[in-house]
Amino acid sequence: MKKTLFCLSIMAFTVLAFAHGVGIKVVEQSPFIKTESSYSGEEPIAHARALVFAPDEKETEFQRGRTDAYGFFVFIPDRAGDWRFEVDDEMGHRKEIVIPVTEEFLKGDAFGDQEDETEVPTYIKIILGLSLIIGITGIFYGIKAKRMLKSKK
Amino acid sequence: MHIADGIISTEVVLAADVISIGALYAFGKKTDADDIPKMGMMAAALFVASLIHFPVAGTSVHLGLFGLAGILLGLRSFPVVFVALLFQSLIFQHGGILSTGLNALNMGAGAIAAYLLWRVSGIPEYVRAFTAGFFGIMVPALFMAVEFNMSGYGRGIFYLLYVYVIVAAIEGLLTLTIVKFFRRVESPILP
Repeated sequence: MKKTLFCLSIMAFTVLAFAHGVGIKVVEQSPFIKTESSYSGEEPIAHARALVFAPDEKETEFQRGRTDAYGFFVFIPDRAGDWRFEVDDEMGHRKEIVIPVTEEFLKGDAFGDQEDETEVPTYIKIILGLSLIIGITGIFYGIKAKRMLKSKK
Repeated sequence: MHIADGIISTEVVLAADVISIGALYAFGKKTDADDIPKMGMMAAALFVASLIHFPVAGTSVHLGLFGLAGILLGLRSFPVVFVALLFQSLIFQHGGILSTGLNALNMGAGAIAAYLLWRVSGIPEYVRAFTAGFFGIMVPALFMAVEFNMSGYGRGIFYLLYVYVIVAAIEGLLTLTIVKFFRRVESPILP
């Protein structure tokens, strides 16, 4: 049992270097916004459905199309506000982000990059998830053990 | 394989969520204390296994270990898959939160199919291990294609199955390797 649990632990920890998820990097260069969609920031999401929604618009898209072979999609916003960009590879992977556009940007005064995956590093997320799972396992094990002790008494 | 929110029709998602919660209760109740560490470690392994990804036919696919979960945990693999998917969705946005039940139904069905295949007698153990790993992926892929089809994606979505045959073969070989290792070290965990 110990060897097996050790083996499962090793399996869990040897893959920490990998990540899988849909990410979108935004490069703003007035007057256009370029998005780069990828699986975990590595594999480009090529030829995926891309939808752009203007601020306060939920139903009708401002622009629709497909990402290119490298996962890029470009659009030119025509007003300030929170623009919504959605990418969907139609195989279950989908991501939606909000891109704030300012008046300065529209005038051609603002440049900048925005990466939506930089909030928390992936390895921290993995450690967090594993800690929660192991913690919950411990709690359940404790409850069960307590019940077993009670029933023995 | 992790379906995000808003892709599958609401009716299908709700129905799958209800079935999953029922299965979670049915397969998770009266768990023995001895099973809990094994379930916890398997949940941790599943949680990170889906982070190993590789490109196949224009999309990105990943390992699942659902076959191994089915072999080691039997019906208890369903709650384990559910918990791993819940954390993947909450922490990595890998699959939608509302679609957790749907994803759990797909992948949990794969684990249970693997368990049933593992129990078939009269077939060499290594063949059963490979088959369990293989169908641990193919069953969820089939469920997923049917759900996409029910949500109006057309029959073209069944192309997914061809993509997943490659992943399933890799998963089958991985499951076979792990089972061989467990047998070599005479691990009591292997039923």
